[in-house]
Amino acid sequence: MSETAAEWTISADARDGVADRAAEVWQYRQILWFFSLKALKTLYSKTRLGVWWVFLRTLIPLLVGSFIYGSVMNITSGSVPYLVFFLAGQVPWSCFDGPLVRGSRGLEINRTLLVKLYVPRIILPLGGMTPGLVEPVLVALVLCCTLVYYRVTEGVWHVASNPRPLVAVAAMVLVLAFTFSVTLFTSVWQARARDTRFVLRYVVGFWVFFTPVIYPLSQVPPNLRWLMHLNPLTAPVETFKWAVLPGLEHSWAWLLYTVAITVVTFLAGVRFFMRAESETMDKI
Amino acid sequence: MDSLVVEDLGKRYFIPSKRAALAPPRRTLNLGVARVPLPRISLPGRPSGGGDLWALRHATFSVPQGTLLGIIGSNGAGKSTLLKILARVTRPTEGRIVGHGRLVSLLELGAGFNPDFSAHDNILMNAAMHGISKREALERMPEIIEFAELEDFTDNPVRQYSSGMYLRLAFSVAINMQPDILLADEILAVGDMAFQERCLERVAQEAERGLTVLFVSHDMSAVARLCHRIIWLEKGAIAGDGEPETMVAAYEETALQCGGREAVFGKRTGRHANIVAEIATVRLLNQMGEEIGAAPIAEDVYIRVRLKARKGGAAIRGFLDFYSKRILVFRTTLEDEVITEKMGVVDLLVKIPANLLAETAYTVNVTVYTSLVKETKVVLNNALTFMAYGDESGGQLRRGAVAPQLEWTTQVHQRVRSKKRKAVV
Repeated sequence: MSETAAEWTISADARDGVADRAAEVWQYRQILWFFSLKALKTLYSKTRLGVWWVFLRTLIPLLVGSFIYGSVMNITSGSVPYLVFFLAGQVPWSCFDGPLVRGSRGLEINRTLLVKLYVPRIILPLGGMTPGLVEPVLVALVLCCTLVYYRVTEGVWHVASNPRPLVAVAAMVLVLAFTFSVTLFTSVWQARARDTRFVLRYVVGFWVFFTPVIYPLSQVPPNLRWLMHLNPLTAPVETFKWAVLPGLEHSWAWLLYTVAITVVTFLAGVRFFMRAESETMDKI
Repeated sequence: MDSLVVEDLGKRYFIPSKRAALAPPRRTLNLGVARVPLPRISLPGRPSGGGDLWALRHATFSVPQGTLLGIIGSNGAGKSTLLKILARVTRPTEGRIVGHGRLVSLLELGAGFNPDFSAHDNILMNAAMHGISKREALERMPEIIEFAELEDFTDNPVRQYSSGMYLRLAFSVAINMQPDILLADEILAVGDMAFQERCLERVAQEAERGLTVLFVSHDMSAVARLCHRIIWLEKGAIAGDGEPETMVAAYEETALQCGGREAVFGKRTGRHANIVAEIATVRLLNQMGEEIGAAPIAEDVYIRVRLKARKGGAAIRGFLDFYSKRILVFRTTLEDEVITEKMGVVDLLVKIPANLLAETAYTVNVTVYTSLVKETKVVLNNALTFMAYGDESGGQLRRGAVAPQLEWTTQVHQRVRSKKRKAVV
């Protein structure tokens, strides 16, 4: 009960500026950890296998995918074994697909809380996304193990001659930033209509085919590559592979394009989210 | 200094009309084999059908620091909307609020607790949700645990707590965050009596030190006892603002007149008929036997329970329970049996003497025992609700659940020497 208690205002007409919101998010930053923890715990609570699902859900699609695409369909993967190539594509891709679906549910799964207690809502899609970070880390681990396996059995390091781990991480962060920007829209839609969740599953399911994850970009006819590159996920995935695997090329220009798209999506997303949140809160 | 200044605050909700929400002529696509419902697609913007509801409008008031402010009103009056706007859970449609200091909201005890976390972690999380740093939360931790009496259970997940422990923890966290303003929705209604008392005591203490509290409650006696001032909301507007006693009385009276008795006193319940008899009417009468709606305290009034007998030769006994503010004030029992005539009417008349009732609202529950072969009973709860009223000065003189005029004797003694005082006293 300080004498110099800070003054605050709630007003119908004046909306908070972005700077105020950013300061607020910073003040509440600690709840991000709690929301992430909660999202992770509730994801696998009441399952028999518990946290082992994390491994199963990650590993099974990897094994099946690499078998189908690599051995059955014989998709070329350049100089490296298909498994290595496939895993290197999955690392940046898993920064998008899991976090997007989870982050989009951030508002929805916390709605009972949101009508009783104020927290900066923009933290919620972010908090929902974080359990999705386990997957890329796990896939990256599997990739490392695979590389070691080939080194032991074949005596070859299937790694770029001068690997660039920082660039690889930067590419992942870029994908995550893009994903968060998208969840600013999708989480609001999801809170309004559950249909969003199913739509998202399909969108993500198809999107992977338009991103060079399971096939190299070199397989795409040169006159269509620009079309592939319009997909903002193409450049970071390519960059990640270039940073890790040997004998690949990538384009800094298209990476810059993805950065630009991300910034635009983020700004539009924040604007959309701030405008929509109060109205959406009244309806959920 | 004012803790809160509320200016022309309003909140509008869009309420879809029942027809639009419940019975849309959902179009279907006939595929020959089956009819497939077409999706409901609404274009962005205002959905058609339905109307606006101002849950709160033109609310203007200010709350000086250290005030315990009660907010009363019937359901849907806008009480919770006001608190939600203050808690920033929802945005106002118009108007503004200027506040000073840290606001902690208890719109629901335990909102934002995670059942899988320990008390320790929940305290940290709750602090974080109020934007309070971990360092500060750790400093307050011992006080919080102590007030909640949970010293031995800090590491258990709160899911294992009894509901009482849960509530204690929730309240303790809120009050120990050192708020400048505390919002509390119906927290008086939960927990065991002992802890409630402790909460209220603590709230009163904090108020002395400058805490401003906004209570929303339906418990009129608690609000009147605790609060310094009451704002009475009705249909989204401020209907009154002032002394607790006056506001509660005004509210209860209006609630009765407007036929809102069910909102205040609950519905009629009970099995009011059996094969022997039926409680037909319960009326409040004056000395002339005319029906009246409210009881003048200075006069004798009567309550008449009219029974329709279905069988002859049954013995009737019974009693009336008088409630005020949901507390049983007294029970009056008909000791002697009456014997029914077949298809006849039995009137049970109770005289309530003048100068017994207090200036408040009463509800009457009727219980009648009928014994023919075996004894059974018929019950009509909330059978009658009425206000008792006195003259102008009565309000202060006739407080309580009943205010019987008792005999007072006064004696004035001369000063006595201290040695003998014991004997006199």
